[in-house]
Amino acid sequence: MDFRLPELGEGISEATVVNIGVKTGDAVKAGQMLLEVETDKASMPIPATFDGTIVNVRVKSGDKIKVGHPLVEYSSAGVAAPAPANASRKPAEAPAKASPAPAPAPAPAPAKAVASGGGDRREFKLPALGEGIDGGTVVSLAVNQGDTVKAEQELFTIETDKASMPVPSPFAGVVSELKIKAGQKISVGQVVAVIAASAGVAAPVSAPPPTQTTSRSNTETAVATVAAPVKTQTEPSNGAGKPPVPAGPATRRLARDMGVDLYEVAGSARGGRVTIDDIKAFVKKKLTQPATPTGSGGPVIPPLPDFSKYGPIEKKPVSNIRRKIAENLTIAWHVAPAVTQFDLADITDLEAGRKRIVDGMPKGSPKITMTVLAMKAVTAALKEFPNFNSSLDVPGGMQILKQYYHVGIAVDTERGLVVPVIRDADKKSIRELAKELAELAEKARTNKLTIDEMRGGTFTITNLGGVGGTAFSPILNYPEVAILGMSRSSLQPVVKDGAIVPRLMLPLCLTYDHRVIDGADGARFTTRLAQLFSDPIRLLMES
Amino acid sequence: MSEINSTTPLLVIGGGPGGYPAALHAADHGIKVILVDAEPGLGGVCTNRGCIPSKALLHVAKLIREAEEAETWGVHFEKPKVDLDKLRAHVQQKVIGKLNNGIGMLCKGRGVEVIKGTRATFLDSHSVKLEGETTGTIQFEKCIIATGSIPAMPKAFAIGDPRVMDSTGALAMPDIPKRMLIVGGGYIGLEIGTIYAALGTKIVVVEFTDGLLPAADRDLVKPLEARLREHFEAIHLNTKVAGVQATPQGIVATLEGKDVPASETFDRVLISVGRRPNSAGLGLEKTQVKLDEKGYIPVDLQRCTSEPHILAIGDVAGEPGLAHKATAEAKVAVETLLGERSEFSPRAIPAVVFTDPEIAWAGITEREAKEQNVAYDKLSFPWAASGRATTLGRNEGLTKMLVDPESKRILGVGIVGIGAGEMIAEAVLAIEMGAVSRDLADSIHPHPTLSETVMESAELALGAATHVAKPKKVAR
Repeated sequence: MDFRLPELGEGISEATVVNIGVKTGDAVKAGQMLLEVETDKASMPIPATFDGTIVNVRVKSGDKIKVGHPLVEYSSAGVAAPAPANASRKPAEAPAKASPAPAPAPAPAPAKAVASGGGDRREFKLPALGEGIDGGTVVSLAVNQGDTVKAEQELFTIETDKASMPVPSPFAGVVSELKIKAGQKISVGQVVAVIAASAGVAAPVSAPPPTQTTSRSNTETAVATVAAPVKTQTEPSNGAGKPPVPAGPATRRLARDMGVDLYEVAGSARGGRVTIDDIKAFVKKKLTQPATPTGSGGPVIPPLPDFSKYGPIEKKPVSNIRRKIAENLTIAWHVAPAVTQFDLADITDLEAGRKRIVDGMPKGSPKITMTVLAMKAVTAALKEFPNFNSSLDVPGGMQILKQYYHVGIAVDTERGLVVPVIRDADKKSIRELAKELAELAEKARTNKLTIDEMRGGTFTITNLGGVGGTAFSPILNYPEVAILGMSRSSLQPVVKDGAIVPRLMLPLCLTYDHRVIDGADGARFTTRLAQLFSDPIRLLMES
Repeated sequence: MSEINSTTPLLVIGGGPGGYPAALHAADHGIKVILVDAEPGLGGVCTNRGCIPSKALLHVAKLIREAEEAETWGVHFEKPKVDLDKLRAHVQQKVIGKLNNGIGMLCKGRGVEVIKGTRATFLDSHSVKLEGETTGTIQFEKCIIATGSIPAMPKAFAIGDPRVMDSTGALAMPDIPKRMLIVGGGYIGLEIGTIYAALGTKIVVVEFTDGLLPAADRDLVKPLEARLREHFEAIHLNTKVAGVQATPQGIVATLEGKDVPASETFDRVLISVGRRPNSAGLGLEKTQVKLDEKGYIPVDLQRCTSEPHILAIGDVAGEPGLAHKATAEAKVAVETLLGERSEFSPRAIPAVVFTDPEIAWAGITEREAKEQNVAYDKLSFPWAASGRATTLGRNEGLTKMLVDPESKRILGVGIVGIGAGEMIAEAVLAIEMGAVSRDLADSIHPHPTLSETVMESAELALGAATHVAKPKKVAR
């Protein structure tokens, strides 16, 4: 009898043999590893599902084989209960519902339990057909109910909006139920047939719906625990383990019918409840939106390995603020192709002047820092380069140029990075800016910033000069299109009027969204900034 | 007696609150269906020997008690005389019989073919044998098993004496015993005890665990227990009935517990220690349908058994053994058969104990929240502050709400008091809709009603309620 390569997971149709652990004549027990295969997701061992003796090994190391390919021929001592191949993988963590970053969306159809123990009857669900394809139309049937089929034998042809393709049987057996007919529209994940597998075939791994644990500490149970009667392995379509999305039964039903993952829908009713209108709006948006900048398929992210295998580890729950930072940065990273333009500004005179004024100020006055002066330079430059003070509305096809100048200042706090915003920075005097910045920074450090104080920014300044470093590439504070990073200023030898003189140089690192701003403008902006920084009188007059 | 040999697209086995709604829904949607039921009257245990007769008799008990309490209002009733024959006949004909006929008419009117007084057993995965009023075989494409459950009768109590009864026997009201032992302080034992106590029987309840109604939160049981202790002769907790013995003087029960007499004699004993699934003797071994170790039929979210074309619903498919769960599952099962994307995943299944006062709860209980480490704020509204409760002279009740501490989303509601059972549906809706306290607090509830206690509990989540000052939060 042949033992074939079982299903390895959603979207995986082939693998490479890397390591063969048995040879002809070996006695083998169910659960024993026969060989290892490598897919583009992971390496996994393939255990035997039978007790028996190896008659013939049908593959060799390096072979690229498809699911269903015979691996070994054996004579059996008895057929053990089918075991899923390496079911210890978990699907990749997808970002929480606000993020448009793509995650390989699992088939939202409620996963019917694989008919467990019912002899060898197994439900065959329409497998993933390709990125962005969630179903198609049955063109023609190649078998009838009751037919015996071989592994890989075509069951029917399906037409998607990309192509027509045959759908083969994953294993050999008898088609005890054919649940589809020609002309029918079917979806990925839908049960298309029930096949009574021949003895010796390993059970296909049913693609598990996402069973992620979020970092929230307040979890509600999804199902009323007046003893839920579910005894099999499937989870409700709203995902077990996660707090359920607030949505009434009719709304949940509509979501289920339309294949909408409730976790992706923003709820407009009080308390974040998702309404039927929200679902309709969500579906409309998905249908009319042109391909998002993130594309319809990012890279497939492999699951994390078990780190504790390699040494001791400590697990800390991710704080809300860290989670938000991670979300925002992931969005910015995915959405905007960014370039960082580096430059050096000669702040020898500016710094000298600043120090002199600050030393002469009465105690307790808010300090005039380089960041404060940078705000002045930046707002002046933004007025000359309005593109840098805008945002891009891709679906709307608009660039939104803001006629106000609210500058966010990145503040490092114990809990993480926060960006309070100073509104109308162009209209405020240096003294006023210094005072407001000092107050906001203090509030940030003592966790007293309000949400409003962190909103509305048009440009961000991040100054690491106090910390160190020569230069860095800041990440955009989406949906802004530019951010100015400053590193530690240092005395450098500079050629000035034919002589080499020590000048205090401030590294400027301007990251900008290249969808909106071209390279030349990026350089012009930093040149202008450097110009303003290098001459205090010019800064005074032109800002 | 008639003999048939039929083929049907859908066979429903069992005509109780799971089976007959399934058959009706299926027929409404164009599926030809045959409904086979073992009894002469449709409605299963619920109609014939469970929910319905017990609630009818509890109503009578309530009338008797209210007549007694009328004394404090200045209305004097003489002690009632109970015509047991008339009571039995009324329940049997005007209540049970009426509903049997009602269900029969519904089935007839909507095209369900009904075969009564007949047992179906599986011959294989696609056919059953019929025995009883109708014999023969039925071939089916799909089947829904809704055979329900039966009272558990441990061997120690199965002594074959009619004075040792299960709930079926007790609700048939053979007589009004002078003294009755109730083994098991769950909802069945307490409801039946309430009926008999009102009719004059001295009731002794023996409960193995340390509290009545083990699944309910303690603060809800407390007011009920206080009242039961007034009406019952005794309630023994942490006590076991080791055995029962038939004697001419009565049934002698051996008790094991603290401060409990070693043995006592009773005219009748009710064994109410639970129910078990009715899955034996169905011939399931001739199919691929698997049972678990307790005899339940495991099903997936669509109610399919290990044979994809055979579904199971109701008590036989698992806990909780509640009629409304069976009815809800019936809808899911039929929708699944119709090819819709249905699943049985309710967020709250309410539970009601129809004692006096009633207890009702939905969503998570405090006990469950603690076990599962779910954070909650608890808001309790004592009925001492309810105007309506005062007009009824029944201030012992309590309405409590468990909410998520951050979002104030309603996680669970528990009520003890008269009419709790009628009030809990609002809580189920709130939990299913993902309501937050504000949703309930801002919904105007009529005055003077007991439903205001639900609204005011929600108000407590936001600060003070109209009739209760800012509460001491019992948060975790």
